Amino acid sequence: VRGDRLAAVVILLGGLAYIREALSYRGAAVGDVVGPMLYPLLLGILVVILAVFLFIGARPEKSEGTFQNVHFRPLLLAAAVLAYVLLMEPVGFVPTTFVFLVVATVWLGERSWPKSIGLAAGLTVVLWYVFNRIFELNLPMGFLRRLG
Amino acid sequence: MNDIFHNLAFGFSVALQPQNLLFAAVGAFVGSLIGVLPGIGPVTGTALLIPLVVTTNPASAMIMLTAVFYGCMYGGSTTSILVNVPGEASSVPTTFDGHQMALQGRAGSALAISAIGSFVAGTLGVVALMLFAVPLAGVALAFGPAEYFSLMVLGLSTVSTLAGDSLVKALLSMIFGLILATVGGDLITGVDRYTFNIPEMLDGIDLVVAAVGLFALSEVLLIANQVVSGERRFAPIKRLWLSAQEFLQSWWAIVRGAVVGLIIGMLPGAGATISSFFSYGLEKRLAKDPSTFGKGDIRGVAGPESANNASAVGAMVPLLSLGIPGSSTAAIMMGALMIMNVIPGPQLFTRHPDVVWGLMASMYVSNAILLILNLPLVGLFVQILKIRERYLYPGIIAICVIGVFAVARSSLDLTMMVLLGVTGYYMRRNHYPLGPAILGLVLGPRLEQSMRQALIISNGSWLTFITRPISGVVLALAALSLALPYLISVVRRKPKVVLAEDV
Repeated sequence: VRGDRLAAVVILLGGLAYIREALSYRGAAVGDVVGPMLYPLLLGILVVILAVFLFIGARPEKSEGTFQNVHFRPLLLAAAVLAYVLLMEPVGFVPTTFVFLVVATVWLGERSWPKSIGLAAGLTVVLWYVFNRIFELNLPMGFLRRLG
Repeated sequence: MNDIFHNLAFGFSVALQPQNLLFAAVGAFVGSLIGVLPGIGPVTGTALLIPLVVTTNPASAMIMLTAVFYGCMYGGSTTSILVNVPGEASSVPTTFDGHQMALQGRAGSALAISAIGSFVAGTLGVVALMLFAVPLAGVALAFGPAEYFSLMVLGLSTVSTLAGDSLVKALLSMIFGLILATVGGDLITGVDRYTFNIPEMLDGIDLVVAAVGLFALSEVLLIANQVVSGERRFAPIKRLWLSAQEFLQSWWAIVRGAVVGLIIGMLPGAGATISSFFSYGLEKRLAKDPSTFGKGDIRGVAGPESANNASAVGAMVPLLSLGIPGSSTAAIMMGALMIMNVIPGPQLFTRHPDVVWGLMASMYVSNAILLILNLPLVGLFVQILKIRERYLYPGIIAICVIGVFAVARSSLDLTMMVLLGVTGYYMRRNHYPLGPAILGLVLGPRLEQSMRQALIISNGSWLTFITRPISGVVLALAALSLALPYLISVVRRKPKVVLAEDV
């Protein structure tokens, strides 16, 4: 219940911010009776109304366990994906994918490092070959560019 | 009538070109592989492959996406039956009896009837599509912006009422999609909205980025804890084919399922889930001894599987003729078409006949390919389920990243994908359905554009949406669809009317 109430407050604030931004859009086009402001304004108002309903309708729910038990692992995985995608262009597809796959398999429960490293290396090579050579996607080379 | 045969012959000439045939076969195979992965259904599967198919021509891309779509549905049924994990909501009824059959060692029969039912339903569906899509496209030519606006409102409201258990959350999800769609330059005045002066934001949020983030990445995040704690086990298959008696038993269930699926699939927004549940309920009600359902009754597999597949074809009717997707997957296919500058709608039939007729013919071809491909491949699909999830899911994330990189090529879009992945994770955890969000994102720009065009035509009078007869009726239906769940819940409280237990 606290979760939904909290979400309702966050959504309400988000809706108000969205409305505030919408109010700044002025169109000068001739013949456009509505302008760029009205539609986002309507959406924002709907968000606010629905947020109020969400707040009122929140019912008690069984607790799913502590934050650490439930959300810690998924969110850290998401952080790893974020690091992966941000480093991919500067560092290159091959090294970042390899490191990400090692980290992710270990994080998802693989206890044997050699297995994890072997699998990550194999999969990286396969993905690189399939998407770069066959589909010609020009994946970022990163520092490997100098080698090849 | 002659026209239809002529057009269909043209369609088959497109679909049977060696290149397109290859695309259909590869799509069906890849789709089946993806569909078998637990938790990944047709929506995610087609979303994942958009970046790859949009590099070809529109007809080939649609042929491949349709094949992937069918493949995913078939793959999803496979997991429903073998491991009791539905690939998506529409396969849930298949688990009721299908998994029971697998536990009894009748997995072969269940998989076979699911393939046969899908094939028969798909065949009937394509015939109906040919008969209805053209007349509907003719009607659609008379539609103005007001009618389109109302139809889109109807599509959005029905998807929201049918998805998930909380209407407020479904509507919030839908508006989340609509809000994402407002990012970028305004189509009429060119004013930048919600771009925060970031140049990459001017084009708006790419559908692929949103679909991969919201659906695929969020799913992996969601099951991360389960992957660590344990692995799934399933029973070995004893027999790979079904008996004549089982076939005769399920024949009418297949036909009924196909009809149910087609009709429901054609309504904008109703889609596969409601039709497969409806078909299951129908079969159970018609059975002489309903108590066999839930204990491995083959009709409980045959009906929903056929309905599921027929509604996929049905969803193509409004997509092709009106440009309004009837399901989340159809929305993604529409997104793929729009990426390639093909705008679905009545003009599609004259401007891109190869896409329309090639697609219809290829639906049939994909169906046949799947039937030929999947029966011998059951053994292989079982092997995929043996890959440890801790290897499988990191690989899926890497493929998601490659897919987004292929269309967007910017780290801003990749970051957006991760943020939407976390958002999708939150939404899934808290029972917000994701279908309405993706439908909102796809329809958003056209919704606003048609609303504003209608108001320009009517000189700013909002009454135009109600006084134009078709628009008014459609809006009334939309209002009814929003009110219906409440009416049903009022009825349900009376003890004698039992709707919930039937499905």
